[in-house]
Amino acid sequence: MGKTGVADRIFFGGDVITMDDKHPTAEAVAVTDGKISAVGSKSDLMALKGPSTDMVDLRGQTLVPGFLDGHSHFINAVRLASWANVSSPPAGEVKTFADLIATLKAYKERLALKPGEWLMGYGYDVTSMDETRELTRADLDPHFPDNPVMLLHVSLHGAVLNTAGFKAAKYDLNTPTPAGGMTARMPNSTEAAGLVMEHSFLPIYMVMPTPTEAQQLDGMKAAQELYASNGYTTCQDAPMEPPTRPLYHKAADQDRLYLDVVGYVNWLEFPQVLESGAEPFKAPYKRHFRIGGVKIIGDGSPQGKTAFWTKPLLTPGPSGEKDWRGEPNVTPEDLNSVVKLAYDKGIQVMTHCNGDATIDMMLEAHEKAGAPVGKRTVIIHSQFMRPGQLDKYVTYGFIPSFFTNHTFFWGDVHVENLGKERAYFLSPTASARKRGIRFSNHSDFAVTPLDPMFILWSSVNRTSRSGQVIGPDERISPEDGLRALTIDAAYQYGEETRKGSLEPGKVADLTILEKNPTKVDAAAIKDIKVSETIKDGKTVYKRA
Amino acid sequence: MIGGYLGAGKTTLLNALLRNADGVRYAVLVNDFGSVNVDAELIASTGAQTIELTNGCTCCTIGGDLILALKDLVARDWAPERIVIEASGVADPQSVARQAACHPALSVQARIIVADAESIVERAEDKYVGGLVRRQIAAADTIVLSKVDLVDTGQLARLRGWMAQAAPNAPLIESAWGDEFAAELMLVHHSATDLHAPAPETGRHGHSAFTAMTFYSAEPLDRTRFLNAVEAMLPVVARAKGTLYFADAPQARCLFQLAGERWSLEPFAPSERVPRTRIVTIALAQREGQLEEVLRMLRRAEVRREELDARD
Repeated sequence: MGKTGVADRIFFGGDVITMDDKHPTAEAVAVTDGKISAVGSKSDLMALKGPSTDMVDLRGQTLVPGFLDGHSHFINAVRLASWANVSSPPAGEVKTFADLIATLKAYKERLALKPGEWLMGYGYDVTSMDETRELTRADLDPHFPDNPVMLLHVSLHGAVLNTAGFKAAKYDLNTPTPAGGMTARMPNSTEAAGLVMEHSFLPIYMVMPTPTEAQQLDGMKAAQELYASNGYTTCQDAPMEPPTRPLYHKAADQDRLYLDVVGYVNWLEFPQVLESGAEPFKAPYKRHFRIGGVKIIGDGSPQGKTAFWTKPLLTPGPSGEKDWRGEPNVTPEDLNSVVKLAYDKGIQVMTHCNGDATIDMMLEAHEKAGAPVGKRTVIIHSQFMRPGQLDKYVTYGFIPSFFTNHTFFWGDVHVENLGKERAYFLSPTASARKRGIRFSNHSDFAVTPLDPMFILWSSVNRTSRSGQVIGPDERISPEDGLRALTIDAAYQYGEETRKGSLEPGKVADLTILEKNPTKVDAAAIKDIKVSETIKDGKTVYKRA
Repeated sequence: MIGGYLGAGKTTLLNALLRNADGVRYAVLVNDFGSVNVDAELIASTGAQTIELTNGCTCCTIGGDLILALKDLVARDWAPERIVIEASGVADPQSVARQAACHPALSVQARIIVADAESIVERAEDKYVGGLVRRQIAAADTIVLSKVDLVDTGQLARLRGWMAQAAPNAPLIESAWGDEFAAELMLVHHSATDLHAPAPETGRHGHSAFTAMTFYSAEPLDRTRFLNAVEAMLPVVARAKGTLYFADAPQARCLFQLAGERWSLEPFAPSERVPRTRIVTIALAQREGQLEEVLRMLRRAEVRREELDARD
């Protein structure tokens, strides 16, 4: 029981998962002035009911703490807000070209596009569709003769365009394929068919319209709607692109933010930003925005083979290299100096490390900075670790933010590239739990969908696209999986005394799930929908 | 594109390029951690525009900085005539150049990697960055070996051999640390290759079409002996530049320049960073032997303390 007095809202009538170790479940939660005022039995909480109290009957649904985004790129949601989602399940609904065209048509109507205006889509990936060939402009042209169409490939490294799209991009259909490019051609023709990838895509990328500041500020609304509809109440952008730092402050000043957004400064501009005093590094939220610290990008991605490992891959590198181990994205000298600088100033460090060699570099940087404790240094992805590195995480208090969605999206690819032993140890959640390490689990949106129940499902099941269990020993319980989306994610942000569990005095950030993920069949976790999201006691999303 | 590991001298080279801009409108893209070391005054004086690239990774965000910056530059009313990309210490020159080449208005003139003579071999064996340093070198079309004045002759010879293995097709330009003329030599080199300069002869492991040598001295020069050396230079040296002073007028510093058949000596107001006498010479690689003789003549032009004393 919390303080007495009349509650603004009382939630009851369903399971309550508190994520508070002392009282893991409850019957009801009361909210007063944006804070949780009481958690307990329904009968006890009825004492807080007044005439103005909004009684929220969960009707058998499940109340959990609002989710904290362990790691994603909020700005992508801002950008994609006015784009059609042409992804295939589980990221979207598009299974066939007919679905895709229907989705685009609906979008065109919704946005009331005039002739000549770009119709943009994202998430195109024919390998996840029930189709046997790539989409071409011949499929799109009859439906969209007057609007340039560009559908960004799921990898973000290419797109499909219609004829009007190529024309608007001033792209000659007979442009030769450049080195490092891929241009699909029409059958028996030298003309570009629609799909352009990698270097073939760059000339188009260069002429693509860039959103204005006003458009991006407007996009903040749709972006928050997307996060809220997925049950998130705290979102992340790490690293912020330098031009978008002021954008966040502007959005906050104009009261456009209602979810909490934490931005991390890009390490490449960190010394200048620090010196100029441009960013309030250790200040609390101001109108829902705060600077979390500095984000360093240590290496690339494992599926792109640009992560940095100590042992070579079993398959050739991205350009056919033998014994390919990938490369770091930062020199040890620069890494050491940023880590030291941030530690000296008491600023949180968040480093993207996918391969074990990059993790070695980060551990060394920490040691060279005097191996301090209590810094809550976050290692984003911690994807391909060696078991011994987890022990060092314990010693140094590193917080891994794992990415178990990889088991589904690229698990099979990782087995092929790295072999079972290494692939099965990707995002080693169970091994981390055994050592008492607190970790979060993330979507890396727009790399994978934001859906927290999909993330939870992947940490509990670790099933790949082909049905292979990627590391049976690293599966965790739904309870532990939930910690990584709530209380332990709050710990990562240094906000565990305010958020992440349902306890009196904490911020009333709540999410209502259609079903209880700890009670449904493990395989069905991913089908659970978010019904409602509550930020500071107010409903910010309600499923139609 | 100028690449190379940290501290190799990329920014020094870039600054020198800007100093020698000769009215060419430059734009500079800098993609490295820390402060921008490009001389601000210099940029103002050459009209070069500087853009910092600060996205470390393009794989997680939609769109790369580099592409957007290039797009922006090309679209400007007063578009630059040359763009120099100072890549980060970990950048793959091939990838940077390929991205740039995708813009229809741009062509890649040079992928230059600056390698520090003192540390490059060690770097190439480093457990973290060795692979990428080796790949950077292999992807270069020109290598500038910097700080050659800090290694001895034996080391330099070994380095040349090592580089011939690591980058067999890239011309090697040797340069001393802080060498403000290195960039000019680069320009000479590149304009010459544009004009289809004769292919280098074999020997000297088929490296550069050009060879560069620098004469340093703390002593004043004898005017007559120096002029003799210039006479000997004319048929050999494609370009030379330097500062010097003569024993007969030790207070009057001179700027010496030679291009083709023409040369000049002008009064020169020195800055402190320039050594008292330094002359950089560049010649076709096959004239390396003759160039060495020119250097010996310059050496003989030195007026040593004993000679000065004898004159008094």
